[in-house]
Amino acid sequence: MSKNLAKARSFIYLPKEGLQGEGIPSHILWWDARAEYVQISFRSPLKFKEIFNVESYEIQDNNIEVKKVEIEGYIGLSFESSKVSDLEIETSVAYLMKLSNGDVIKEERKIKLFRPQLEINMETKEITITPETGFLKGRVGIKNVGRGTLIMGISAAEDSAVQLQTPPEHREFAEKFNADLIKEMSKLAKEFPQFQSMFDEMLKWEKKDLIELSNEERDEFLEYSKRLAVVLASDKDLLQGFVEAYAKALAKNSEFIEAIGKFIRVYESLVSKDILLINPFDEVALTGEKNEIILEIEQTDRVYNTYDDITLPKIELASSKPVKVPIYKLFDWG
Amino acid sequence: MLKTLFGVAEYLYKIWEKIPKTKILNQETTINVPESVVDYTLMVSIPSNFRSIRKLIEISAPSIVRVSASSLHPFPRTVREAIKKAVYEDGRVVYALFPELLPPESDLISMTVSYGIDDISLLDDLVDRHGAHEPSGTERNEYWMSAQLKHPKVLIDRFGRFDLRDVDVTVNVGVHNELKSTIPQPLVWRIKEFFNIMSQTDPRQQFKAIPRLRKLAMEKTAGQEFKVLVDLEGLFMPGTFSKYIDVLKDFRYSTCYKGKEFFELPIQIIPKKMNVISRADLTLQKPAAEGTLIYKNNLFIEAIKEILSSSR
Repeated sequence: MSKNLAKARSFIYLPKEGLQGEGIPSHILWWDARAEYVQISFRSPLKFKEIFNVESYEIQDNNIEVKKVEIEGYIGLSFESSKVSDLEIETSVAYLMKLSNGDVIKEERKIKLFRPQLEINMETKEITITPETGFLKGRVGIKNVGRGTLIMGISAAEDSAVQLQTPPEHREFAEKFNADLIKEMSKLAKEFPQFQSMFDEMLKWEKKDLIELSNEERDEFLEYSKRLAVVLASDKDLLQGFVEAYAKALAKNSEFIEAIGKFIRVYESLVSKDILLINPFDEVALTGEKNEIILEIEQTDRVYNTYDDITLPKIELASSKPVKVPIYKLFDWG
Repeated sequence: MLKTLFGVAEYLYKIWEKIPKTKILNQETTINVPESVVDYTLMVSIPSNFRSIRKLIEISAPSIVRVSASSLHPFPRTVREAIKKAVYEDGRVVYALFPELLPPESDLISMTVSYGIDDISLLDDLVDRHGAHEPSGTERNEYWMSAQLKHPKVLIDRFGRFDLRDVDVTVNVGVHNELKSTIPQPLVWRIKEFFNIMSQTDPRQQFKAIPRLRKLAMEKTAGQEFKVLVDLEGLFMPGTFSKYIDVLKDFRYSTCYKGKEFFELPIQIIPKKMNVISRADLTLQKPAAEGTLIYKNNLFIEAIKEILSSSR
């Protein structure tokens, strides 16, 4: 084999960072030579998912040995990652290639995998509310000490003496809006047959509590969201129709003033940097005497990883008069 | 699985394969992803007596949207007149190539059939696509994207040269942190106060609210709140929001729309995220694409601030 051949060009791709639990793509491209030997080694928490453009390969532990590529110049890879106890973990993929012109490509690429993490700090178990000013003393400290968006909902435990309530005007609006939206979407599905199956699935997911999905359902939902994006991206008119369906449902339901209400809802759900609160409008009704509440927090992230529910110790809520307090106000959002 | 993709192409190939004395020299395919249309071209050498031995070549399939032909040699030109479209009594649409209408000297022709694919999700059988769920980079405002061919050999074997055009990857760009950090709390309080007063339906409560309303009306910024909301909403129109997006490397920006979190009503004036669609082309020469979407969050914050300051 001649050593005088020109040096082959090559390119390796692996993202430098990713959210724990998301799919991680990688590929190798090379030009001007044939691949004679290819080995790819990866480390936990990466897991092998798929390899593309390979006629035969062997995988042992964390090593993939490619026996034969189908078409010279390209190998594609897809890894899975998983949620681990570390908030941030660095892992790597090592690529080793021997080419027909004698070149050896040996490279290691690192990737940092991160995730959000909720930290709760309770200094006292009593929260005092001044009804006249709405001032609260003794709030529960809460913040996201990891990286990435944390999505959370607050509820009262079943055995809690005090329960939460959703203000009826928000519930009514939500229900009526949803009904109108479904009407609009069903019209859209008639007009665009490729949307029909997405619409059927949409109805299915509307009924589910998305923060409490099983692992299987979570994968299914991620798949559904991805497909919805793809179907919408596939047709300009469909995308336009989809956006308009929302606008129409809104127009049917909202006076301008209600739209303003929605703005407030969004704003208040942005409780803190990198935390999104699912139910910012739920509130607790205090009687003017001491009330005890046990709060539960359910949480997830952008790829719907499973996080343990958190049950807070019993909290005593004190107010001199009957008053309704939005639940998010019981927390100090760092 | 890939039948809908290959169907019409294979059908055309088989028709030509059976015509004596002609030879298929090359095939070329472009899959236009946004339109879900495949353009399949065959290059065929024809004998000099082709015009007399064959009266017409008919093709018919419901998914066909267009058929065209060109003479490639000795003089390249399209021969629109050689293709005729007819609708049969049963409603069937038929395209026919009339060899006698081809240029007499022509010995090499091409025929292109464009057909629609119903199920665009079959693109997932061809391409592995990923977009980052959270931003990365030193400024935490970059989203990576990737699109890789799954089975380039199948495409080449069936299609010859191929070009997968405008493969889309959607990335959800979170905008909530910019909104949270930029919109001042007092503005929200005032909007909220208006909201509470205006949504009172009980006349006695309305009456009781009058002093609060007057107090709000006395403030310097009174009446500006709604304008601020309308202007803020304008930032999320695709044409405007695209100014805060840069797409680099193999991908290019296509369009964007307001996203919805799974848990919320989708009607917010102000969204928490924008779904941004970027596109890349894949070919045998470029079987994998990677790109970076940069969300220029600092400029976006400036734009929010500008709206807020104009109301002062």
